[in-house]
Amino acid sequence: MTLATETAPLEVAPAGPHHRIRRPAHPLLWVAAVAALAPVVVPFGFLIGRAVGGGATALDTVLSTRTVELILNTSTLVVAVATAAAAIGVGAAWLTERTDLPGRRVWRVLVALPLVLPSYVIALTVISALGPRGLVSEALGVAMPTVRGFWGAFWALTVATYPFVYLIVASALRRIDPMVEEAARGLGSSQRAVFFRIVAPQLRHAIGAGVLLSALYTLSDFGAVSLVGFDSFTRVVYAQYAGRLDRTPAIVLALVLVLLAFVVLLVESRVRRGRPFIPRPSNRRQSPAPLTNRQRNLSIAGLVALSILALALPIGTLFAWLIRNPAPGGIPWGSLAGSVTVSMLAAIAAVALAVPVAVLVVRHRDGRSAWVERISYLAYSVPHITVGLAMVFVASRYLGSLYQSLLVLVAVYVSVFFAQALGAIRSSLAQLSPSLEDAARGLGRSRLQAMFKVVIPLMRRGIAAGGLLVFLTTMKELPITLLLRPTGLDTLAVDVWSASGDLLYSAAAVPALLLLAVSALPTFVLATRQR
Amino acid sequence: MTTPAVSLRGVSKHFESIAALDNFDLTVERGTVLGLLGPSGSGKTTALRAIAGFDRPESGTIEIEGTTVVGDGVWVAPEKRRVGMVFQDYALFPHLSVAGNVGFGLAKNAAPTKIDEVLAMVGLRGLGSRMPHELSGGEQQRVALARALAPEPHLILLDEPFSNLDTPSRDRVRREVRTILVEARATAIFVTHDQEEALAMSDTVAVMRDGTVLQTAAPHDLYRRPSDCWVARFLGEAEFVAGTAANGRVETALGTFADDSGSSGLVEVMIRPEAVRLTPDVGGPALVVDREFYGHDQLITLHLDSGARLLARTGPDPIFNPGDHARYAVTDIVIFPDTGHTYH
Repeated sequence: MTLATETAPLEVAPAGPHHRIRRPAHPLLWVAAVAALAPVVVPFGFLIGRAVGGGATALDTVLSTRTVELILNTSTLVVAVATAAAAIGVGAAWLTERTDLPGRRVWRVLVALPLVLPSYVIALTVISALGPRGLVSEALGVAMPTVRGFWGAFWALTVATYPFVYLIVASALRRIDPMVEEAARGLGSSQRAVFFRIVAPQLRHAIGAGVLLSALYTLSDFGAVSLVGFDSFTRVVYAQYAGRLDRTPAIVLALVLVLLAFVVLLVESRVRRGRPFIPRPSNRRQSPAPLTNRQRNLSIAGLVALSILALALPIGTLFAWLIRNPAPGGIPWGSLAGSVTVSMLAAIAAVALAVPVAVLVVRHRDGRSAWVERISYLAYSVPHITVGLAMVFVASRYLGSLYQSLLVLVAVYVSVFFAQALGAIRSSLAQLSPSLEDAARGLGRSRLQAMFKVVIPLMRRGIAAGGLLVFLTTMKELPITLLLRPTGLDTLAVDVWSASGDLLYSAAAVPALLLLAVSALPTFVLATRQR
Repeated sequence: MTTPAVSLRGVSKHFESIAALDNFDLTVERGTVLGLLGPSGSGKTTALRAIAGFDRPESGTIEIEGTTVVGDGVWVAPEKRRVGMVFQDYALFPHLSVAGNVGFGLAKNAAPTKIDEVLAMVGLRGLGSRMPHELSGGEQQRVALARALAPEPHLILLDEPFSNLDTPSRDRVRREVRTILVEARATAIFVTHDQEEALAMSDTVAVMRDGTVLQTAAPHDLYRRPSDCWVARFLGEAEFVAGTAANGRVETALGTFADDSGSSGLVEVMIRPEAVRLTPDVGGPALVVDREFYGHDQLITLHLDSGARLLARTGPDPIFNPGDHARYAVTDIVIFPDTGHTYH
């Protein structure tokens, strides 16, 4: 290359201005974005209007000592659960990804598995298994302490949410370039120093993301706190809604809850902002750190204890109730069909809308389309009880016969869980070179044909993943379903909730186990594909 | 005079406030290969995309085979232009076989025979059932070319077609592509930032900078007679010295040369390394300070007593080593008006 020397700046692909161009988006893409998000955004606007219009009552509610107490209760729970989830998640991830712990493959599955357990199922098993007259006392003949209130909620939500931290951190650990750590060792750092100075800073982002999910889940949780009787926001909002004619207090509290969610988002984005590097991805395998005998025994004891508390106890308890009183009401076919139907409808609708919206946010990225993504994440973070309440408020007033219809219920599900479908589909679209679409058009195909013949077939993994995620979360969803379900529609989640509310634990066991069984398959598919 | 295959007149396109194309003109004759050469960010890819219809210019007209596709209120969608494009990343459809890719732009009933024919033309006969990921980079390149050629487009556009190949296969694939294009009697425009590639592949080269064409010429003319200093430097190694022209002669620190350009006053004189002949001479005025060996030839850097620097290209034999002295003779120069730039 004698001629190509100093005068030729090396061009790195992709380069050039055409990669940041704004091509005008087809108006239908915007229609899809509005259709997907309006069912959360519009009622939310009404809700704020109502709270502001509530005047004196609203102000009284906000300023009452009761509200302050609720904020304290809820924040304490959120901080405690997020901290415990972070400790368990990071510790387990380190053990299963970076050490020579025996049986790592099995532990990886066992540690992640509680992901399929909804918080209210864990809470139900905790309260029915423990206590002086619980299953464990009966089996062992020893009086067990009752676990209710704060500690019950803490237990259920920690178990339900530490897998988020675990999965995100474990996958980040797998991607960290071992060469950087080897370089640090070569410069004289001990293994311990390498972890704190090299590995932990690189994990900050992953831990932040996992803790965010854990905190938002805890804030939004309604089922577990209600069952264990802990006065957090969601429980009180629902009680206010159900027990009073004036809905203003419920609405105002629901909005304060949303503010708490935004505080959590803000804190997380602060943690994220100071990120001074881009992690180097690597395919090289990390050589596992050897554990001493003592460390190994302690680690195994810890993981066994975790599996007993997080997996064996909940699932064992459900089976114990089932064996005690086999299917008191038979198999609830109606609820099973109801759950599967609404979840499937929500998944299909979410995916159908997420494909065009993904095209909008990936291929026509600009200030406005970035907002579509942001709003979808906000809708996902707003506690479900607030969303449900807002929709009740709007639908009962303005939508006439649509109030408590399947259409409204599914539309709200889609809106709330839209971020899951969009996230999965947009990341698979972002991996596709835009020249694929251009190539199809250059070969004589219209925009729409290029979409259906080239882009959608190539995104099928992302589409399947997005659909499965929405299906799973809809199956487990509780407060929106309770508030908006059409009369006559029963779901497994509602069955579990009402049976355990009436202390009919045997009656709750069947729908709970069915819920786990239906969730297990898609979870398995998702988990095995992610690797 | 026949209708050109494509012509662009006064085409402009901005991204944010940056002009990617600024009153851009270009004409490509039927059956020829035009190399669009420029540094990154000069707008060459935007020009291709405007011709293909992937970007919409704000002003100007584009005609393909005499038909207006952009301008005067006309807009023809990319799928209606019959322009084949070969993308930098090939953009092969990963879910379709080689035959599926090549047949993508063809009518269903005509496809099988045409696919075989085109695959044979690019030397991939019998590989129709392979999937794109099972092919080497060079083979993928040829599938991309076959796919673009199959619908018999008016024009083939190639965007940095060889930049994803490593050096050894690059030269070979380049020759193959040139042969295929010539055999198919295709009209082609290809974009590159590599001057050697542009000079080797093209019938005509257009040099671009900041959204406009600076010069269009056959490779040899372009190299020998660049229109300005920037084009001269962009096309290859050259030394510039200040000179004073008068009465058909130019005086410089490297000696006095004949000048047939009719200039007078201060000028810039360009000397290409291959226009410098060296002879070993212990008492010679030039001191060898560096030697870059390329195998087929080498580039010698010399310092003169006057302080000037000179580059010379010689054969591969190790005749001139750092510290040696030599005599030099300059066989060809190009004279530019002095623009006030300093080149050292």
